[in-house]
Amino acid sequence: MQRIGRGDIARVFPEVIRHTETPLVRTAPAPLYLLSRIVREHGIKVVLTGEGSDEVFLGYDLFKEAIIRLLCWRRPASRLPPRLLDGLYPGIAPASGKGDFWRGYFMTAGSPDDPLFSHLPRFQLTARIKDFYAAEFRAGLGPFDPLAELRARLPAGFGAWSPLARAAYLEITTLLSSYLLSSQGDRMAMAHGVEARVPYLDHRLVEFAAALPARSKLRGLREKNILRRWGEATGLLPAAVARRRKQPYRAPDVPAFFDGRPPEYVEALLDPVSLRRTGIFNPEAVAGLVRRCRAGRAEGFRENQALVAILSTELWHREFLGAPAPALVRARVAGSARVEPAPVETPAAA
Amino acid sequence: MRDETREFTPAVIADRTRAYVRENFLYMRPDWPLKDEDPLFGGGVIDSIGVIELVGFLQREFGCTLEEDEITERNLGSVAAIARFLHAKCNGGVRAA
Repeated sequence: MQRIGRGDIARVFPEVIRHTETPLVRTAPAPLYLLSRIVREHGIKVVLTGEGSDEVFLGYDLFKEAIIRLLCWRRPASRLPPRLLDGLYPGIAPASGKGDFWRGYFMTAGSPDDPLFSHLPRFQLTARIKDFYAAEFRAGLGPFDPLAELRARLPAGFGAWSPLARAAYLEITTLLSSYLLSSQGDRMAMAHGVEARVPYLDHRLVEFAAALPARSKLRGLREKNILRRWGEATGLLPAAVARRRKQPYRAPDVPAFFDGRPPEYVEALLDPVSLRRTGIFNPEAVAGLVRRCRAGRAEGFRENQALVAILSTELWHREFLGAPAPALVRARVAGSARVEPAPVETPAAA
Repeated sequence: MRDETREFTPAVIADRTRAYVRENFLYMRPDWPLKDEDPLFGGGVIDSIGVIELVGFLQREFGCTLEEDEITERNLGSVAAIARFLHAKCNGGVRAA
């Protein structure tokens, strides 16, 4: 058993961004970066990972959420769908009251007529990071509408697909390929020379699963049903594992950096002068976020992902677009000496 | 809790709530035009976690305890709704702490 703490995430985050080569909205790749290093230290060069199983066999809560939201639209008077939503997110829903806020959040995201219906709550939540943009940067984006571009790229006949097929397609094309397999998967593993193989993405298995009716994957609100039944029937999984509730993989975001005094590089990146030099984020807005992070009040998704987006964008900008600020270089050297004694292979050198 | 509960006029409740919302939920968008009747939730000013924070503030600031079934869009959906609801609740003395 290896414990990876909040401080570990903050310490390696600059290295993580050097390997993702793209900004992030979650720190979740950082623990996998550390895990990959441990794997390599044990002399292991190839591992099997489960990436793809939640997309192919409908494991994510997002799929259930889409079905429940559809129910809400079809039966607006029914009290059941909101209660199902409460059950889906027990960590958040009870504390937010039994009022209509919870339902309202999902209901205002968009109608089932929108081909992006399943993903609109997530897209809209993530888009709130743009609230932190500097005014000039926002103005420079003009009428750019990424959702319109995504809709225009959808395959012909997409609107006639089942709601779950549409949701799975969007999940695979927007999150799995670019983020889970690349930023969080391959790049974290290969940073330490570990090859991650993905048996659930074997094309024969994907074709088999795609041909199954949705109810054999998501049965009621029981996710990955056929996989669970197969695992239990073959004795490959103990019944307790085959029947347990899925636990999402998460890593701390704001608390990774603000559990006590943030690392020196974080303070340097969030400094107004530094932010103004990059020109993407509004220093006053970031100062407000930092104030709430320090006070332990930045607890919502919005602020957690905003902080990670801002830090990773600033790191990425310095690493790939601009000369690193002197303070940042010092912090990285100090941090690297502590956690990464061996030189790291950079993708650019490959 | 507080003796001055009865002194909170709807205007005072609206002013303090507006300031709180601006400082804690709109600090990143000072240009956001927030009118008292604008929706706080559907409009995206406050997210689901923010509801908890807002309820905590209202209870501390105005000395009322909000019951679970009072945490609704109708009661808390806008700055104006909050002012109306809290003023009626606190001055009516119904379930006031």
